[in-house]
Amino acid sequence: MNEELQIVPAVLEEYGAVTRKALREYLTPKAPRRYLYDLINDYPSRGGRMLRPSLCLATARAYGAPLAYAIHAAVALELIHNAFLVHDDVEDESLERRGRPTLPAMHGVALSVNVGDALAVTALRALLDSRGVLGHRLAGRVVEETERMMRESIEGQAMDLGWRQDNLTGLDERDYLDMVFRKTCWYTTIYPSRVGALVGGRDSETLDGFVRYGFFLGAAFQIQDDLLNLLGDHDAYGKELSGDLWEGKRTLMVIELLRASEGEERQRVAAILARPRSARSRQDVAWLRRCMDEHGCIEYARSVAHAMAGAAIHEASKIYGGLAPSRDKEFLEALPRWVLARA
Amino acid sequence: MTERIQRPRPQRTRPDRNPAEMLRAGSPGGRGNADPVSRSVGLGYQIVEQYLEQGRAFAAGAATGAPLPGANMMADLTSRMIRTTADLFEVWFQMMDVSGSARAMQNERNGTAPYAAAAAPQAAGAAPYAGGVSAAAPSPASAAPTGTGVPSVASTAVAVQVTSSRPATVLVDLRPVAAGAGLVAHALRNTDERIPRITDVAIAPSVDGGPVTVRIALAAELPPGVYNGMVIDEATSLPVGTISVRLEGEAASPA
Repeated sequence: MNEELQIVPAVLEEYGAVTRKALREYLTPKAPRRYLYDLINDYPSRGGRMLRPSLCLATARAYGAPLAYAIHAAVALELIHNAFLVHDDVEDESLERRGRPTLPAMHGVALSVNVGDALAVTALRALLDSRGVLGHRLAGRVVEETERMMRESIEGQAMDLGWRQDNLTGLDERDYLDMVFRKTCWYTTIYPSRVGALVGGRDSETLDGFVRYGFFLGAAFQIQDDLLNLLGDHDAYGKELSGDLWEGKRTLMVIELLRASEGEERQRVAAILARPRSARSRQDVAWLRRCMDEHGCIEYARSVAHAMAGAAIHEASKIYGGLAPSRDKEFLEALPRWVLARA
Repeated sequence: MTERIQRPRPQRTRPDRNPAEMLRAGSPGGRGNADPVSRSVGLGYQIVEQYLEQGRAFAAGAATGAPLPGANMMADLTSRMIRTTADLFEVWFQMMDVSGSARAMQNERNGTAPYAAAAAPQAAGAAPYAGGVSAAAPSPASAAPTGTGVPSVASTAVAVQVTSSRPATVLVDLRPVAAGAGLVAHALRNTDERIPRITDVAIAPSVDGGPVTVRIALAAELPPGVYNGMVIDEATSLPVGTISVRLEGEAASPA
């Protein structure tokens, strides 16, 4: 990895450790352990990069705030992220998460849905606890931002699930970017940077710029993630390779394949995507993957990911350019390049 | 016999007059002429700007209507009062501009930008709570926030140093004419006359083109609330800006 990007894993490790420590306060095992609290602890204990809480903490720090100002929002975000992951795994019938079987694969759908609900409720507790540090007014603003972020994410998830359920095949780039804006960007990049600036600047910052920066950064992140799903190293990626094809997800590569293919080939692509996961064969997935190579879908998606990262760099210079030099500012400015460099 | 050279068949034979369709992938006639990079970035900006515009429209509607569900009435009232105070200052300063201080008229003749806060209230300098010790805040060089559609105006760079044991937000608005002038600050006062004023406010002038430095010390016994004061040009005794402090947390009991 490029030397100037080394700051990203270093900050992720540092702020990840801070968040995990604070997270443990909210995940103390108690009864009923077997059916709830042990399961709640499962996903958070599996690791992860801690990108979201680190982005929140670094933004607040870049504005001169102590970590204590943003730690509750960072913890809440990580809990909400894990809640989304559990529900995602149920909805997608996924088999593997962070290198191990998913919760629904191990404990069934019913208990898993309940665990997801419990994680989301625990996030609310963390947000309420922030009142002691931020005061009622600012803590209330953070809760408003959180409600908005969750609503956006849920709307994006509905689009993604609905497209697959109805086997939509006429989607285009705009549809994809709109869905990613809501489903991924809001909770991965927009919310963490907005809330970091909100608490760091004591509600004196104009937050529109963070929507732009967060959108482009989040879109680059999602497209790169989808590429890694097809091309990545299984051990590093932690999920089943080509899992998105097994699940029929409308990634940018799938949308481009549907656009570029014609006649019988397009009919076959649509027919495979229409099947439930259990009815898709290994040959089907391999054939889809080959078609993507033939039509240049991978290269095309890579170009779009780079374009999104470039726009994120531009937006970062606009919102962070006036801040005093700091390690946190360097981290924020390096993120768009790191998103593309990660394996 | 030689093969006849033929012009390639055109992708379309009529002009495409729908700009929206030109940007949509999969539309008749392909994705337009843009490459993936410019097309996707263009689409990205369209989506974000459309979204922000919806948010702005919603906020404009909400601001004129009843309080939002769950909003704290006192907080809302306080916020409206602060806004009213700020608006009054703004109008007053604009009147001063019209009635004509010599410097303001000279600036007008020279084409200097008008009063900064009229275009971008609350923007010249904003310092978050510095954790109980004196610390310099970032000093924005321009008063106009980006992406608001408001024309950018020149303004004075400001560094703010706050000494406080409790969270506080400091907003400093300075007119462009404040640059290079000797400045003094009035004590900052709450709208409640019984509340003590913040008297420990000092302004150091810009040195070698650096920022104007505003130093404020907040006594631990001050009750939470908003405190406002004016910044005066020593030479003309005319107001050239405002300082607002929003103090949070509980006041310490007097020893």
